Amino acid sequence: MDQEHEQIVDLAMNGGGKKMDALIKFISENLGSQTGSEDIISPAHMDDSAVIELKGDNNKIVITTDSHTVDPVFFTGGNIGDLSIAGTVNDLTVMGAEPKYLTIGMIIEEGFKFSDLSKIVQTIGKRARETGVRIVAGDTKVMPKGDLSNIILNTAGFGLLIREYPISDAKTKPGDKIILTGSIGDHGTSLMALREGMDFQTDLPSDAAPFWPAFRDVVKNTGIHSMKDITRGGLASASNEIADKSGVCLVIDSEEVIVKPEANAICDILGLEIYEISCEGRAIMAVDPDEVENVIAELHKYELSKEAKVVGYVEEAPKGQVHIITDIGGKRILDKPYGEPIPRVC
Amino acid sequence: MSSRFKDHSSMRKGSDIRTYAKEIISSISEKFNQIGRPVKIMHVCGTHETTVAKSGIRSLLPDELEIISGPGCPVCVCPAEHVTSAIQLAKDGHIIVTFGDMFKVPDQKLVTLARAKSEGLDIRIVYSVTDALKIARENPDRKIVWLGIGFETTAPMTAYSLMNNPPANYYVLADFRLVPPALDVLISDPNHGLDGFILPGHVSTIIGTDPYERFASEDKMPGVVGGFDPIDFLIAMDMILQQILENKPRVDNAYPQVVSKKGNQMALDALEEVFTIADAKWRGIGTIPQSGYELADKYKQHDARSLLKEPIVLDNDLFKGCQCGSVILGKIKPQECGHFLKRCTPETALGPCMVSDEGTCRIAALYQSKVIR
Ligand code: SF4
Repeated sequence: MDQEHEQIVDLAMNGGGKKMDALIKFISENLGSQTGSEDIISPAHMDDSAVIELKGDNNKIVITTDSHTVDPVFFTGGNIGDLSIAGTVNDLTVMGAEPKYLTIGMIIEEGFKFSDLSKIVQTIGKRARETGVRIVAGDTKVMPKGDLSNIILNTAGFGLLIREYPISDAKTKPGDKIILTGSIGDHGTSLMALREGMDFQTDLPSDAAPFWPAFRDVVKNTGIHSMKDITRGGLASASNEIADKSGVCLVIDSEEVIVKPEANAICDILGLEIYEISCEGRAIMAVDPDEVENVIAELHKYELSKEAKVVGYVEEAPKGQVHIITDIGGKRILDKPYGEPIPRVC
Repeated sequence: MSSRFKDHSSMRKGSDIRTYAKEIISSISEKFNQIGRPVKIMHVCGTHETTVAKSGIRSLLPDELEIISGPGCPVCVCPAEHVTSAIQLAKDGHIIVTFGDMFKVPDQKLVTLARAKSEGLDIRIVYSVTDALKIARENPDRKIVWLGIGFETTAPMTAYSLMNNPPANYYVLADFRLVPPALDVLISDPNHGLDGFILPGHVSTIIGTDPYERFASEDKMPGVVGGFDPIDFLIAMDMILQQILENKPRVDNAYPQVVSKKGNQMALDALEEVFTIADAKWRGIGTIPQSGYELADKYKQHDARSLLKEPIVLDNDLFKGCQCGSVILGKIKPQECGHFLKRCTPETALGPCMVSDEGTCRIAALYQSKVIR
């Protein structure tokens, strides 16, 4: 095995032959044992598709898919494997679904180290076990060097709704309170600090984390009118989507939003807007004022949301806008970002 | 001097700031009420506009106390010829070296250095003029053209580079501009309707406050040099209203930690050594007398314009319908331009004011695309 670790992925592993089988075997071994298998009828023997039988009363199926690229692939506090599980699990959880099954497609650049691949796959296995999701199908492709950067993962997630109606971006009402489950911008700033040419002495970890099982009871609360995981485009994108789809105005108080000092410093230096920086383990919710206390109390039980707090409120108009109350108490617009946040060059 | 909100260095954290801002704002409002008429204050600094927009200062002030953004963005006023000349020089086989903020500025036909680079020309972004000198030394058989643009703030760095025995293949395409002559243009318009200037902190670090004295003494325009955080800016506003109220125009310094009366003598000496002051074109505005730095004769052998077969002169320096000139002079707001957030967005900029971080159109697009009241 040690020798195998020195190996790199080569194009011949794309051929459908024995080399590919070896690659798949390597991946399955690193994935480790699986949980949540009671409904799985197949695949027992690397069949072509998974067969699943639904038992129980929950029969509303929730499906999502997500592709994952990240630079660098290994970052402080995780790697692309964490993102692939967290991203998919979180998309299901914020709908009010219990994540059950996942498929994973891996597109690997020729020359990618087996040792790195094993770390990623082990992370995927570990995270899947922690969240109780079962990986039921997978696929690998190898592409010539330079056609992609390192590795791309694609996941599909399959969950079962655990409440009567899904939580929708469009159901926020005037009077609702806005809850953030933690600090913003950790993931994006942590990555930027590691990129080439940036010389930041910081070990600010990414916030990448799956919401399940921590939010199991949270999402059952019908006082939650909307819920979104904050990803690309940061709080700015997530809040604007809710404001837009619900036809309300979100007012967010900058003083209540938690920003880590390191994240703030990096944004300042690079001329970036912290509200536009990505997270991978944070959610924004619009909650009925009567249920706010219960939701916060439930969130505080878990490490990933122990800093959850109310950061704003919802007004009827102007519809589709997000306002920020600034440091000095002024108001300004928080718009959806234009494209990727690009560090200032001079 | 004229503000009781002087020493606030200890008050920068958390809710302190909000309480403190409230106090300054109520002082401002009180003075505004005593003045008893609409008041228009212009700042001339892109960083000030970012502060104002990002912290929502306008939403906290009375409607009729207007803050207008003036000519404070060096990239925006840099003539389109600069871009065209740089691209021509790159086509002639020279290496163009620039700060990133010029990279995406469109000329009147929407051609940018970024596009020229993607088409294979040798255009490089650097973080300082020192990097340009390094590239010149590493490429002795090529000519290196440094794009020298900016106000009094950035010009000294280029001046130093020329004074310290630069390699013979190092050339400067100089389009530096001076802030005070632009203020003369603004005031010379009998309809300017301005009640005072918040003067730029960075520029004043170099030139000091003396060059502004004539606006107070001759033109009766109040002026306050302002710092850059929201509280600094509010204090400058409070001080300028005090002057208006007393009807005693002068130049106050609300940024004394960094700005002095006489400025930075070493930088001023370097500017005088390397440049001569000449009439200069401002994009969208036209020629302003004695408003630009040209290389002095002694340094002409480094003048990039001498590499051009013939000088490039454009009659029309903005894309059709772009009103950057009027925006820069504070005559219209970005929202009054027909292209604003229609054809012209931060991703699809038609004019320089939508490209630069200090551009009024870009700042408006990012922070106040819709008006809050
Ligand atoms: S919105 Fe665009 S086109 Fe209009 S003045 Fe500004 S930069 Fe020019």
